[in-house]
Amino acid sequence: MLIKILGEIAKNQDSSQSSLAKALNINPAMVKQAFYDLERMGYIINYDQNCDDEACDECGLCCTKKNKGKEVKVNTGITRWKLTEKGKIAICSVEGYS
Amino acid sequence: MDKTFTVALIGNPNSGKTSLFNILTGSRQHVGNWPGVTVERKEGIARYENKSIRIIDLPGIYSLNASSDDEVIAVNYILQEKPDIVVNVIDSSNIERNLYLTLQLLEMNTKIIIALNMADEAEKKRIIIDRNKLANLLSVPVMATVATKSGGIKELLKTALDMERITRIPLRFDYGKTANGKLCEIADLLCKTTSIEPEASFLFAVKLLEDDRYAKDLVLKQRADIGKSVEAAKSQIKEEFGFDPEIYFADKRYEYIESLIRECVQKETASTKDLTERIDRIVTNKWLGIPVFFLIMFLLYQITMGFGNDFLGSYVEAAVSLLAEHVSGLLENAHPLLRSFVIDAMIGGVGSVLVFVPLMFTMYFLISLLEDSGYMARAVYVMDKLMNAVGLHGKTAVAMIVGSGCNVAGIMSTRTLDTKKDRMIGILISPFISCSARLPVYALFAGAFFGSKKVGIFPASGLVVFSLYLLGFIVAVAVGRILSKTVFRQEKSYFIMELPPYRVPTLRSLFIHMWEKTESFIRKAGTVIFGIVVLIWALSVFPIGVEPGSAGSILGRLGSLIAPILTPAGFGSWEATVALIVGIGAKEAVVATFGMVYGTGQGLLTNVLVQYFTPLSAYAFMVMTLLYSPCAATVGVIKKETDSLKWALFSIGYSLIIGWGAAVIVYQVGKVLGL
Repeated sequence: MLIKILGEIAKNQDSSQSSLAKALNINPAMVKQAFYDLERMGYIINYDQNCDDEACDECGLCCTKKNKGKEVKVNTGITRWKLTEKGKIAICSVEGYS
Repeated sequence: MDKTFTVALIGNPNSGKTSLFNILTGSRQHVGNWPGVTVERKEGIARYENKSIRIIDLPGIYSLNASSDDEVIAVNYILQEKPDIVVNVIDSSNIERNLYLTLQLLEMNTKIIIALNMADEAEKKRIIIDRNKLANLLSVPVMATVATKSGGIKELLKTALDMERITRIPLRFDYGKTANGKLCEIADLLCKTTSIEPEASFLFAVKLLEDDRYAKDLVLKQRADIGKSVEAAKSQIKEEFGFDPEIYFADKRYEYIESLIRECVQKETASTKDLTERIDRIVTNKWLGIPVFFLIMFLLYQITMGFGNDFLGSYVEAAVSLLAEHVSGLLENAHPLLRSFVIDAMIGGVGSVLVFVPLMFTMYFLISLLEDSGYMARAVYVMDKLMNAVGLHGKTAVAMIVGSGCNVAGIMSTRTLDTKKDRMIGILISPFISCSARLPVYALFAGAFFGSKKVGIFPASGLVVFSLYLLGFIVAVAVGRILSKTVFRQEKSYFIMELPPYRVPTLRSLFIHMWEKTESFIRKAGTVIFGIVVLIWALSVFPIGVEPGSAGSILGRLGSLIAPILTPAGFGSWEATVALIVGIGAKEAVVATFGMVYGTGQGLLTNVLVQYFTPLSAYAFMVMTLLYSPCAATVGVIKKETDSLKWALFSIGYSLIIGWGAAVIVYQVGKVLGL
């Protein structure tokens, strides 16, 4: 299943966990577990950026990171992952996606 | 029993393991730490038919791969302490995910009972698990429990005690001929040369090939030379299957889980469609997703303008006018310069910006509502597909959605883009997205020129503001497309995301978010905008002798110099020119500058504007404000993120041309059409 997921990511470039679950006809919870494993093995990395750069301080309007010393994330509500170099190499090994 | 019978509870986080522990042990609990780490260790005593059973609550984990302290603790405890029974607590309504840990436990040399916990929840979701079949396939007892209601607890304890006399053979997966052969070779080597027990040798061979930290530490410390055999086996498996053993083995486990689910679990499809899924079928639909997104943005601007600006804003506006009148009366005999500073700069300038606080409150309340409910994530998702459809990378959608709050944040969010080229496009198109700092400018002009008109049931001012949002979006996409076809050719990259479930936001959280964001606006009005206003005011009253705020002042002369360039766009006055120049510092300062140079409070500003603009030139001015140079903070971030002054200057230059060009087109075409 992990290999199928990598193949599906390679095929679509932009995927969501639910679209992967639908495409592979598996339960979304399984995709979650698969992501946990793929992340642990270093094929994907979680990618949630914080506005933790000094440049943000120049922006008083919406990125309220420095607000009372609390860090505030750029809030899209989405958890993102991207393929690591190892993941990209692995994708090339998936039959039909190289 | 010679020693206290010990049962270890293990399971995924949120599987109800702790509830089960609490039910089993009651108040007979002891809480400490696992040795060497700060992970909590909970231990207690359960009683069953006058027997004491020691219960250990292991940390909640998803797998036994020793990639975290929690996992190391669990593996170490099971292998070293050897509990009599391990109860694997499974959330029945999420059995697919939980079974991965189960399979890893079954590979270990330990006695296991599966507790299908939250059985009532699964029943509600119409998930039917054939426990007998599962028990037969896995060769372990499978019990149903409802820890929160003490259901199945006695049966669980009885089964645990009964199992003491049974010997269990660890599960051995068929990893394929080559892999099995290599695993047997290494297992054999481990038996002969290390202290690993024969029953655990195959498991350790699997773990070594999976690069498991715990297994490597334990084995290679004893026999470093085994490492060479492990590496050789890994290479051979990789060569044959194209993947590292760790992913290959995990994949085999998943295949097995899939077959188990097919055999033992029945789900009524309709019942599993929860609210999130039902809503998503509409809002992330291939055809409806984009129209729904724009409809929501349309309504957002309608409410922001109609309620936030026209209704609530009118009270603040009246208050500022009243203040201006009152202070003007108080300073009747004061020095003209002091009077001009207080009335024109402070009340006229800063006050005209503060008039938009209700508008900001309303907009940020609605944006927070969209964010907290989980819709904003869907907006990114559907936009992502649109971006792909027009040939841009989907991830630029994130920058565009985030950028509608603030372009700086939008640019920061391009850090999620994989390649430099993707990032460059995201960075360069983000400033075209209509940010909240431009909203006061739109509100001022839309209110003054379109506030009294209606289109159907909607106020025209809301439609005008929405059209600007849409225009910014279209220009960003078009420019991105051009850049991707010319300057930056796209590289392949991959992106996966998880959408959060919908939830009803709490009022408290909405108000906190709304206040956090609006407070920044107010703070900016009192600092950056005030600073700019003071500077502009000084330039408008000097040289001494000229009429303050006239074309003869330094500010007037500067504006008059550039104003002819803007004449084809319909707003070639020195005041409008100066406002736009000042707006490069901060977009809200455009309003403050108008408030100051016209020497009025907001109450009269709309009246003054109609003398200098027509509805058409007002719209052209708003288009210019939308598209021309990014603000100073945005330019600074562009420089920082691209690490190039050249690109920062480019972003100013090309957006000035686009902004001016678009404003001229709007004005000239409008004139031709007789608008």
